[in-house]
Amino acid sequence: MRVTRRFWLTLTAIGSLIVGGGLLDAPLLVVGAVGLAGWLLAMQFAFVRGVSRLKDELTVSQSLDRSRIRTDAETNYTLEASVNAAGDHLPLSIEAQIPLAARMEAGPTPDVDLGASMQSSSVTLPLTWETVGNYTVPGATVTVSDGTGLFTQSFTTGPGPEITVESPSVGPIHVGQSGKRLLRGVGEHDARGRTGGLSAEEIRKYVPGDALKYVDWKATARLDEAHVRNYEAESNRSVVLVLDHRQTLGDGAPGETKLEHLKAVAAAFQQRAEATRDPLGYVTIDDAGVTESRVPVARAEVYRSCQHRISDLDTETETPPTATTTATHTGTMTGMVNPAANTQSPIEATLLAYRSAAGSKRHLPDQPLYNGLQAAPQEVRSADLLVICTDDSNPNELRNTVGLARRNATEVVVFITPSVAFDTDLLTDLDTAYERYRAFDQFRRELNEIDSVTAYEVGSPDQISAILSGSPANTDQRGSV
Amino acid sequence: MSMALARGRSLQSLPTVLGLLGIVAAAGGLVLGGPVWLGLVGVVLGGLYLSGTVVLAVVLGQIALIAVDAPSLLSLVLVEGGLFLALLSVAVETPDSRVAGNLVALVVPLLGGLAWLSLGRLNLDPFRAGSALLVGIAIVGYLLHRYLLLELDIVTEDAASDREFL
Repeated sequence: MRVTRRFWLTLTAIGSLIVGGGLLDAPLLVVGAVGLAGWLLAMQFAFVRGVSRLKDELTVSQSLDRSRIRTDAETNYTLEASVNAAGDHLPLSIEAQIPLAARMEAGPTPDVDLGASMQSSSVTLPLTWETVGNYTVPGATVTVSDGTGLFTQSFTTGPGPEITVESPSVGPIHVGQSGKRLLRGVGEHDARGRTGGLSAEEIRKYVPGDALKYVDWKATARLDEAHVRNYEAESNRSVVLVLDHRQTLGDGAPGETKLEHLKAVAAAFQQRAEATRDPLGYVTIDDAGVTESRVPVARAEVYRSCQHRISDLDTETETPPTATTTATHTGTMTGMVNPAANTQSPIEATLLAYRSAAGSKRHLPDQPLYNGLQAAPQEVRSADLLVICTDDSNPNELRNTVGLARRNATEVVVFITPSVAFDTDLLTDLDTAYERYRAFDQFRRELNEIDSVTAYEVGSPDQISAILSGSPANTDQRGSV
Repeated sequence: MSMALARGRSLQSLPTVLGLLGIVAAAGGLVLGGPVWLGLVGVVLGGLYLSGTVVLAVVLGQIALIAVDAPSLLSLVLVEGGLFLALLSVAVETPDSRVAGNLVALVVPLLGGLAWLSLGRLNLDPFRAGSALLVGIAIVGYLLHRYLLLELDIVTEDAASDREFL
């Protein structure tokens, strides 16, 4: 209960009457003071009773017209309050707290005032959600005041509705090889016996103490001697996303850039990893080097962190907090490998590219993707599945990066956005575009032929179809019509 | 309603008429038992009441009463009864008027009578007796505050909510 200035004024008046009564030896003043104090107490009792009743009679509801929304989209938020009382009730105001991720347009504030004789009231206003994530609208704050302005009391209602804010979609995406779309969903992978549970490791002779349930009866019958089958617990397979967000990934129409397409692919892997509880890590790289990295861990906060990181990626160069690669105890590493700051002479740079001393890390000039992966923690490089999302603007660098990934990781999947599919003036010269696509596809096939490496093209289905329509077969058909 | 109290009273509401009757009775009691200039005090009482500061009107009425030399029982009853009506009018203006009015009608005469008896008949020191009664009322007020916190299930381990009250 919070008391107001009016309450303190009354208390001061009571105190003054008592002091005056004592000093002037005037019992009438003290009688008046006691009467006033009794009145104050009676008013407080009535207020306490009124608030207790109101708590049961008041219904506050908060609602959103959608439970799932994309960033920068608008939802209608409604705050509604009603009092189920036969007569008047204490006047109250209800103030809602909008999550920080939501932006409120200018207009009515999210609060509702219910006068003593008002039974219900509501307010609806549009909210724009700016940040990806799951949010719960906090409980509204109800403030009740008494009719005389002596007391107020605030309490909070239960939490409001939940909403999931997702990153905007780029529409249909082509993921495939040589113009053919991938049939399996992006992010899905073969179990390969590594999805958890137990797998048989070896059969060995029975030794006293082995549990009877592990005896392999078929092997025992075949070998005429008791044998047991050893099992080992399997771990889920770790997935690391290597996300390139350099300037060249900004090519394409606004909202449909290379990066937007690759973000959708990466988001699919993130969702898949979360669904199967696979340990997930990521490395993001821009022109200045590694912008953020996280070792693979199967924890909810890592999935959220990865989701937010994917959503926030853009092609603007980020300024890392430190100039050198650092690792913290939490497993998060933020740093930079800056080949642009190289002060080596051309011959030094060339020699550096061929240096491969045992135990030393080889940094290649002007190849931040390669250098970034090289500088990443061992847990990142040695993931079971390394997913590289990049473009074909520097084939040599990508070749080196895939080679490095293959040497460390068990399996490598490369998603490449062909630059030709993101040229805005593509349709003006389809023949040239097709030739460029062929060169790209040859490069993709080259990567795909590396053992345990799978390379996919990613782009807009319309653009890929348009390019393929420039193939000689199609051109001949067009000519013969 | 609180806005009405803060900005003054409407002369058309029944509680205000009741309160004004009380103020007129109190002013009459003052004039009846004391000098004529106390009629001016009655005017001030009415002004204070209509401006929404009933407590100040009651305080001024009590102070004016001691200006009356040996007030008669009639003037005493008129003044105290009138001021009581003014306080009662505020209580019946609240949303829960029945409960608030009954409480004021019960508690104020009871405590006032108790104070009058202890001071007039038992010859207790006014300051000590008043302070003792005030402390008792403060304790009851604090218990009511704690009860409300429990009722709303917002009791916290820190003393922040207590500080809000005291």
